[in-house]
Amino acid sequence: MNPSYRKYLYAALVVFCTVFTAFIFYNGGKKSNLPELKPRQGVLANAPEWATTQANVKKLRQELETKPEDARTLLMLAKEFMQEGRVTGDYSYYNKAALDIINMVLLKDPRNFEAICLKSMVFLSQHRFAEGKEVAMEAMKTNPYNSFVYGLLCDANVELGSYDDAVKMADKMVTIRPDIRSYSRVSYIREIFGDIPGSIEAIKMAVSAGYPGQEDTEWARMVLGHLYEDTNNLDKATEQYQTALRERPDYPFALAGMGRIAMYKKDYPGAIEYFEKARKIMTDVSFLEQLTVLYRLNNQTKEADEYARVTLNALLADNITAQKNQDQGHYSDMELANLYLQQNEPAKALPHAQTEHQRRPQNIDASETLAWTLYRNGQTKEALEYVTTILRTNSQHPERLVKMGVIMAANGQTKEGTDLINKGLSLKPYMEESLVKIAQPFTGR
Amino acid sequence: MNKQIIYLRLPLLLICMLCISAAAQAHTINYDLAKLSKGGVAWSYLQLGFLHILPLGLDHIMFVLSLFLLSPKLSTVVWQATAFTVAHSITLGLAIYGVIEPLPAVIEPIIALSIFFVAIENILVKELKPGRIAIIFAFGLVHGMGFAGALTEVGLPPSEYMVSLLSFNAGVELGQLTVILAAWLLVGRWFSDKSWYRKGIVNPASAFIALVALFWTIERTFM
Repeated sequence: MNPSYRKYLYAALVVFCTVFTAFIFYNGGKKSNLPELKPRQGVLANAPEWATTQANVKKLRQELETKPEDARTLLMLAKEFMQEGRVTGDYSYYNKAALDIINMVLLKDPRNFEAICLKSMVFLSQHRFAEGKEVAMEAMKTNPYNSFVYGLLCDANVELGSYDDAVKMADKMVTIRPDIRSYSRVSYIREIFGDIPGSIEAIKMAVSAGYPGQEDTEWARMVLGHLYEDTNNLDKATEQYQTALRERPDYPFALAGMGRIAMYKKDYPGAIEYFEKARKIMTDVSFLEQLTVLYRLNNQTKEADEYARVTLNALLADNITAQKNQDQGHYSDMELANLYLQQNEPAKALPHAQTEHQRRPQNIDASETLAWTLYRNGQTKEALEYVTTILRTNSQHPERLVKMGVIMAANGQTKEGTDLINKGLSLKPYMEESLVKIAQPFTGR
Repeated sequence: MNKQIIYLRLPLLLICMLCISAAAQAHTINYDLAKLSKGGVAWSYLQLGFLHILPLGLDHIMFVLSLFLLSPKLSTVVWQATAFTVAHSITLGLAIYGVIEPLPAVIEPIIALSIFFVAIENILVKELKPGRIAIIFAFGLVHGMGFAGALTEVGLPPSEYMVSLLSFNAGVELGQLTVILAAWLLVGRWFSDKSWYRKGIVNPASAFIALVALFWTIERTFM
């Protein structure tokens, strides 16, 4: 080839690549605004709704190619991502994806009611409760006749420990629209206030209001199963989990439910099998935590240590991600504190318990975690300071009753403490052995 | 070995790689992070980095092969590969620590375009010029952002953040060196000083790589 031609061709190559690069930046900048679905792994890839989800997302993306700023379509896409996060357990990716889309809508239309509601929902899922409540309040001002927004406010108030406000919001929600979502909230509120029969009644209504096999219906069924577990009714709990597995095969939370039942019956290998199956389907830290306990109970120390390490890493990673970038990850200080307690490392648990309590000092779960962590650190008097706050709703959660009873008894309130411990143990006689052992000196059994 | 066999071997090698690596966009590795043991983090991420080149990173393999073809001497290619590694380490680190947020929709087509550029340059330029190092360095920065995408998907264990990042980088470098060594053993060592090396190997292989890279560029830009 003639050298001068080469020179011109080389120049043409440089120009072509430069222009194309500029175009890629222009074009890619537009495309990158829309996150992608991640391929599902394992059993979840065969779940019936996966094909529908893929088709929906594809259709919505196609629509957005012609109308890239259509708020309705964008928000439908955000909802698909939020649901996918719930199904796969990959909240970190899908919450961020949904939030990016929602913010695109809000940038154009800051008063878009649906976008504001969804933003609040994502914040709550990321455990950013105060922000979630603030955004939901904004939505309520825009549209005070929508039941969904009251659901968000109910959830935010529960998490922040404003239980009386949560009751008001749940009442409004169920009045405007009695459906699976509102009945579920009513059930949870009743549970917090210690009305277990009322809670069971409401969650049964929620299950009846849903379509069998759908994720939200089966989730409500899980709540029902859990309520039976906490009231010494293992047969009925088993029935719920088995129904869920029939309606939604391999539903990981139902597998976990069956695993817990096996654990209560001291069938540890069986329980491990259920939880291992659930873990393979869905990345949920609670499954890893439970496996740690189960392997230890089954005297498989090596496996227990391995799961403890993996769980800790997963929680720390989530917490660090949330601290670095609030749009990703979620605050997991309470889970970290509980894990350290389970590992018999109360000193490490304390800063996490304190951090979570600072975030929501009125919440009974956060307060319970702090009180119990203080007790386990030998700070018995300090732990007692929180007991009144924790018991103010008359919650009948068995483990909570036992822990508070232990703290009271250790502080000299022997009768009240022992009564609480015995009440907790009678509600759930198959309670985790490590907790029963701690309570034993105070029970007189 | 005669000329005809060489003509046959290189395209076949490339076609084989194209077939075995359906995921030509080398940035979709899935890895069960939760299964890693503490002692195995470095080893696992080293493997992960290596796998990201061989066999999963067909685009990176083609880029490295393009560098190799023009000047198939081990020393010069290793220098170029090192410049590439230094560059991609910088952007990989910056992206992982959140200093920069590369957009896959931009990075992936540019990676393909960089392969196209280097392959065509092989045909247009007779010999290696010092400016090529600068070009490779610039492209290395872009490829690093692509690696970051893969590593972000996998995640890094918080307790071993730096170890895993360095191990991944080392794995990538090892993968590249393996490609270079294999290409040198198969081609460079025997034929680089032959009079027909340029016409018989560099031009057709580069043309093939350029075509594949152009296809990827278009696919990643418009589809």
